Amino acid sequence: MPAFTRNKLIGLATAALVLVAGTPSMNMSEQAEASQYRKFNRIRVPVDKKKPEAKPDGFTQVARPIPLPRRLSERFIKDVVRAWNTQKLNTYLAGNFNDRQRLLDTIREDVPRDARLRVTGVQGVDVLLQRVKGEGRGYYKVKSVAAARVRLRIEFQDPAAGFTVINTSGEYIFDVALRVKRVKRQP
Amino acid sequence: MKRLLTLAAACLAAPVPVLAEEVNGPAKSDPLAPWDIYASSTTQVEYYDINGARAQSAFPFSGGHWFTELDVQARRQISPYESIKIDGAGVFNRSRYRLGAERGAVLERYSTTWEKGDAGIPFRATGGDFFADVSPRTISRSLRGAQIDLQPQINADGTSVSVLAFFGRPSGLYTDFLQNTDADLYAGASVLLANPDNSSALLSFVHNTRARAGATAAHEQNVLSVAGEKNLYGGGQYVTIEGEAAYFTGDHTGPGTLRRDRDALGIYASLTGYSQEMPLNYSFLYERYGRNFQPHGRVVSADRETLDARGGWRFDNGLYLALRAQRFRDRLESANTLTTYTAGATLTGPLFASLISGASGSWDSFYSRARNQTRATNTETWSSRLNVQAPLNERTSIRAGVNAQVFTNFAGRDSTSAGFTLGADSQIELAGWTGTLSPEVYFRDRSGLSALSETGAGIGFNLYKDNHSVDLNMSTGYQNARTNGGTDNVVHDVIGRYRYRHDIHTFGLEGEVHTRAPQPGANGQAYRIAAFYTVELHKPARRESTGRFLYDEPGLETGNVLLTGPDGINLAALRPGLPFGSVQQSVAASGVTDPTRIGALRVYELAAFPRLSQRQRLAVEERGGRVVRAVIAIDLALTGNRDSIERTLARVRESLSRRLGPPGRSFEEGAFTATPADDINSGRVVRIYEWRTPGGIIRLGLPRRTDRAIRIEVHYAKSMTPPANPFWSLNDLR
Repeated sequence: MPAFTRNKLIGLATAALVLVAGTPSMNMSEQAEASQYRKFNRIRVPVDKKKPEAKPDGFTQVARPIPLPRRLSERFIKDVVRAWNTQKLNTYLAGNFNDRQRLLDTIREDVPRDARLRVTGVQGVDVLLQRVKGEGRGYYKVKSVAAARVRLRIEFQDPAAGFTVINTSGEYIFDVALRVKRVKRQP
Repeated sequence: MKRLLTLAAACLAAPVPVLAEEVNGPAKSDPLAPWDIYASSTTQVEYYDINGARAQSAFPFSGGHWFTELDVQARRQISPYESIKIDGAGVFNRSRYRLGAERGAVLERYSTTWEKGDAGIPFRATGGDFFADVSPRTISRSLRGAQIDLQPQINADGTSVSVLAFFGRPSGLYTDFLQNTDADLYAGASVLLANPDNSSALLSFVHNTRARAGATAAHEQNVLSVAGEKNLYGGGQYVTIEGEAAYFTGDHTGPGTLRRDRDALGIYASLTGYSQEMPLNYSFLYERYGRNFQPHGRVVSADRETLDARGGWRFDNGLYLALRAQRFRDRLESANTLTTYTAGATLTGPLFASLISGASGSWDSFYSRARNQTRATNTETWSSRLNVQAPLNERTSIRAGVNAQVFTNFAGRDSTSAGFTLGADSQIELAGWTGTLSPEVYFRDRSGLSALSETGAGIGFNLYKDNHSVDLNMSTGYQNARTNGGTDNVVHDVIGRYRYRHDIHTFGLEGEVHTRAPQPGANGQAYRIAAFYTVELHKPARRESTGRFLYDEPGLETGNVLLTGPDGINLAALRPGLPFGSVQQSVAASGVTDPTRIGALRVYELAAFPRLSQRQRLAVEERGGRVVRAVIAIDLALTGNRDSIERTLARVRESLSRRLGPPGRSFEEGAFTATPADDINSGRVVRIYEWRTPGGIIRLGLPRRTDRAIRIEVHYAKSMTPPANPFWSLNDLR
């Protein structure tokens, strides 16, 4: 398989990683040359400041985030990965995902129809940020931002090379909203 | 924790900084502990001698000269959202080549930047020297004063806001700055709204006031500008539309005398795009600036209209074809407008690769026609130049260049010029030293009003052994004036450099001999010897917290990043320290072909900055399987583009600024005369712009070269020589 196709497929499979690459203060890789006038030289701000908050939403940041159940994370990651190369991926991408439409278009146009992405391993899920709000009657709403490092495999039928497998890895960041009930310990 | 009731998931569009718990705070007794400090000091002693005719000397001053300079950069990361950066440089000067007549202790540059993202309104405030970069039509120059960038978090629909305000005076000596506080003052503000889809809008205002200077009375001016950019997608095309309208009002001195209360409009519109289905990119540009469009901070030409259309196509075999058509109308608002049409084509990549394995090169041709209304100017130019390099064997590569130009002057004398250069670069090993030996011969001939033929030869070598490096370049040339009363000339130049680097110490010796023997006329010789010593100190900060960033440019290690796109080169793919294999992956994914090897360098012919017609090469220095340095070299050859060196440099700077933000440090000394090569080679003109990034230093500028060629270079390396040392060019690449 030509190196170009191979690299492009890996790029598209790990788009979540590639498209958010770069530190906040320097984003050389993804920004187009763009305008002649000054660019937005972003100041790094705390994560909760980036969220649109017209009024306080009552959430409190948790000092020590509680890990997400691994079974839940794995199930979700597998769902997202299964949706790759299908229309359903659209529903998993955040509205403000960088170059969202371009990613979807490129996958649709360039990825072979029969190509599938599979999870071969979830290396770890870190909770980056967690906020909590009480909802009464012992229920709490927990919002988490989590990152997962995932090993992936692309499989497809190459007209020249036959059945082809590409192993790669990527990192996904996702929001999780949970409603949980506090259970009192029995005496 | 109980059952899960709801689950919503999405990828975030921005990198998320992760702060771990604070551990092991700094020792209270050491106030410098949290600071990351880099300092370097250079002492340079030089002696110049001039024999014979002073007019033939490359150097204006003789005798001994010396200086000691100190450069300090300190940074404190208080939290992941707050940092303080201090940058200062001073010199004790006894050299007329360093600061002209200014002697003694001189503070040359100073700036402090405080960035605080967790304030009520996140801000970045700078005091001292900074680069005021709003737009090419309002202001784009270095200033000394203060600037603040406020980024209020009112992004209800994801729109980011940046409010920039600044005031300052052109950077010069601090003594002048303190004495003449009202001599030339800029003040401005701009509001930038940026959307996540990369569309944005900008409103800017810049005021400039100048005090009486000699016969020119005090005057002032304003420029107000509105600009916007929008990305569109449709029919398989990704298109960016951009425009700016700037209104100038006030007084100005260009051209010539002071003109009061003038106003003019400056318009800029462009469309750039590329195809998703085909390897095609294209751009259209229109600019129009009235005669009175004279903002002092601008970098565009007044009284000019430009139409520019370009297209690029990358073939499967790696060849890249760029076509351009341009129309310039100068002295636009006069009764005698000069109109210039240019059509050109550039082909870069594996030229002649089917004939010679591994050959690559660049071919540029253009036709240009310039006419004014009275036909006092009525010319036509055909021009073509070809540069090819090819490996001869594993150790040697050859390079050849031919150019020809036919200039027809319907209102005067015609002229033609043609020439060739032939050179080689061969890896050599000599008594444990390794390096490159580069012989070259050239011939140039020009007919017409100032007919001249030039024949010459040169040989250069670069040698390295452990911490030692030596560069030597010797050339000789004969200029034969073929007109009655013309002056012949025999020119010899020898320039040598030696460097020894051990740990934090660098010691260097430099020597130059230039002889000129004009006939008729008196001979002249100029000599220079110099020695310098540089010591660099780096004290890393003791960590206040283990605050780490989840994304330290991930993806780069895997070679997923394309090296070039329709917008030009992506420096992130060339970060020093990357495995060279990942660069090769990026190169392959971008369709750029195999490089030519010169010693430790891999040289690629490519259009790093697509808006430039000049020949551009990328050289990646690889040692131990890692990238040590990446250099983009832009040859300053005539392409019918009518762009001056300064304008080309400004274009590259703008392109880099769009990706990296304004340069963190800039060094601008002297002004170009009619002989820019001499300006650079004598040290009269210095242009250096630097960006410090997590991956290293990116430096853009016009370095001096031992072969005296002039070109623009962009370096990306972990460290660079001090800016006071002009010989920072990649001499191995000729």
